[in-house]
Amino acid sequence: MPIPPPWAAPCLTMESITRSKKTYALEAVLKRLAAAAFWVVLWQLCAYAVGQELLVPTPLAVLRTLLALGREPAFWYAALQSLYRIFRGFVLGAVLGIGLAGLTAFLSPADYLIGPVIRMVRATPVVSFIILILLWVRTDTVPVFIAVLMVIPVVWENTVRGIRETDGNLLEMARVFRIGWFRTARDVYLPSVLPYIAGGCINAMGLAWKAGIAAEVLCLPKAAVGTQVYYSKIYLETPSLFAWTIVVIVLSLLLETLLTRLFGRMSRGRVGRRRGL
Amino acid sequence: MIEFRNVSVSFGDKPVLSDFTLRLPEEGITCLKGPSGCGKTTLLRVLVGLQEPDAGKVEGVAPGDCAVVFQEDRLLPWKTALQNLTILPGLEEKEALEWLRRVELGNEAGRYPAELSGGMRRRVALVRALAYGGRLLVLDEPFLGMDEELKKRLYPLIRNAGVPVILVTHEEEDIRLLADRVYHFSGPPLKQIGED
Repeated sequence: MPIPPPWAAPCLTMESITRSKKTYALEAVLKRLAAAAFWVVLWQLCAYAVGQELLVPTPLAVLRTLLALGREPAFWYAALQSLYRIFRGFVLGAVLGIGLAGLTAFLSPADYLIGPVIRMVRATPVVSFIILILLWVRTDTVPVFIAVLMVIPVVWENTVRGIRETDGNLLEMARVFRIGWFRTARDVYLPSVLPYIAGGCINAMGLAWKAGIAAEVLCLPKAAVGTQVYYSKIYLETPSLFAWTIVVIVLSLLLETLLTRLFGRMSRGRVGRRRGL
Repeated sequence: MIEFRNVSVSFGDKPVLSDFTLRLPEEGITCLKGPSGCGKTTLLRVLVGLQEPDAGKVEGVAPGDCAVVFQEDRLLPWKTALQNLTILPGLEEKEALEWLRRVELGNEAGRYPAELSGGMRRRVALVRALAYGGRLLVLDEPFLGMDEELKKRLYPLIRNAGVPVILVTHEEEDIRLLADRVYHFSGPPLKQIGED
């Protein structure tokens, strides 16, 4: 916490800072709740206007379905299986993306070799990959592969940018004072690149979820959220379709929040202490 | 003796060093003086091995020989003043703290560069170079942002560095009180126009 300047001391005590922070947090929560309430009311009005649960179910019907699903162990098993599959794909994709970014940034031939392939992967429609990979591997492995393919380009691009934008002056300093490759990597590159990796991972997580669930819808693994979404469509259970979609959104937001906190904690230990910068 | 032999460096079509030859004695404090942008910093970069010359060579100095105070502070913003010293290979925390005390920064050891004034950051950069050791101390405007009294208290540190010093400064007072010899330059391209 920066020390307040002397002229601010009488009006800006630590107590008032804490209180204003608390008020601000409460205000933010209230604003969010109000926004959510607005959209739920709008949804209710739409459902009322359409008047057919098959097309637009009411929020209450969806909530009822969600609560009923929550009582079934199969629901939790399917959700956890999807979570496990996609998170595994995400971690693998992030590790590969960072590794390939290292090669791309430091080895010029690797840039020519890897760059075009990753750009091609990014431009290819995800459904083409799903159908192709479905021919090669077991159905429950397809979402993992798809998540990997979605995550690599985003993490790769961010990490390469982070490495290339590392301050050249600091790298020269490290060279002159012979601090060695390990310390240069840990103390110069890592704090510079970490915010880029964090941004890439958080964006990639959302993509991995969307693409992973799409893969499940097409591949129908035994226990999966995507499979349930598909059955909801087949049996025209629209409240169930909405309920499963909410599950996907909640899990995605949960993982995104966890990642943001994890990177935030890592940054506080490395780059976050750049007070005033 | 450190010798620049027919060194040429150009940036685009602008020659900064053109067939430049100079001998620098390996003793005492040698001051390089010349107008801004004449090529002194490029000369130092070639000397410490950060700039590969287009032609010619530098003799008498090897990579890792030079401890440098750059024109910019070049401190790691995510490390405290103390940690900016302990990144040097083999420098223990206790020793680093002692170096900071020598430049009157013992109480600021735990502060980050953004929390230090310009003059304080400059002093951290200066002690980092002094603590590194090496065979040659290269100082590019080391006293920027410091008042006269403070500078005078720091002069003995440089004088007693125990290694030859190459100093670039525009301050007449620094030159008068520190330099054993002064080389005058004009440029670009850099050209020696005199010696005191």
